[in-house]
Amino acid sequence: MTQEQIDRRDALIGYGAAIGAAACYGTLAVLGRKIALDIAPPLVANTFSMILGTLVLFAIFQSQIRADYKVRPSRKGWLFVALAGCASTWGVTFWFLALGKAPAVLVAPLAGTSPLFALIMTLIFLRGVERVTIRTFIGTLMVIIGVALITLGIE
Amino acid sequence: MLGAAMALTAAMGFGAAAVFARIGLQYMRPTTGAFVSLLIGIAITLTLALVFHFDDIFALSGIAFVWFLITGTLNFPLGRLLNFTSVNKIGVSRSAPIIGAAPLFSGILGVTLGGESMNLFIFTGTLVIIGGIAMIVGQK
Repeated sequence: MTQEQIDRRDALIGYGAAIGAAACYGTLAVLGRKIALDIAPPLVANTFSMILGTLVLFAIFQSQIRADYKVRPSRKGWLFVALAGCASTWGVTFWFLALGKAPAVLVAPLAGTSPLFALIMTLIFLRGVERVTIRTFIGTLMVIIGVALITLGIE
Repeated sequence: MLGAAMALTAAMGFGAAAVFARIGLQYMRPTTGAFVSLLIGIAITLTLALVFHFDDIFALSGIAFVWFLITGTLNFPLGRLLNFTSVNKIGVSRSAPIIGAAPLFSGILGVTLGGESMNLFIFTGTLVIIGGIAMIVGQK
């Protein structure tokens, strides 16, 4: 396989995974609303979903996880994925707190600006690793505007 | 005003998570990265849940755990793993906007299965999101 073919395959997997993740999160928003209204407070639901989801993840991929642990990746690797976990939890917690203080029609579009923050942080922290083009920037703005419009339409 | 500030703080958290994951995943597989990030998340949310909802936890019914298993599987082995895989393969700048389009799928589900009606906002928003993703995916 040539380098060009490998790059094309990686891009295809990457875009497919991103669309798959968006579909999961989108479906989850619909289910989450039902759970928060009928079953448990959002923080409790999120905690137990996380525990059970992590058990499922470990059950399926334990050989890969054990192998990575034996190889002992650098401390920098552990540190940054741990920080990613903290930042995700920070995001979810403030999302719920915001919903307690303001209507969803305001909270959802504002929280939907996260790709813009990701782009700004990419420019700061990943300079030299990733390239942010003007097309990426315009595409990101279009997605944010579209999300705001859909939120208004649903609410 | 406070709610808006909190929503923007949430957005910052989600944005930072993608960038931190991108750096960390240079050293390990997305599966291990997702697992470690979830362990940290559990430690934080379990503490908060025990502090603020102690009584609610012990009042949970059996069926609640079936729902948690469904949403947990959808969110973490699937959602987060796919998220980390895309960050690893195409980078933050391309994956974050596509993953940020999740409300598009909520809207599609709402209209097709939830009995919600398609209106001008949802229709225009869908077209704008698809256009934005096409711009990102279409570049070399």
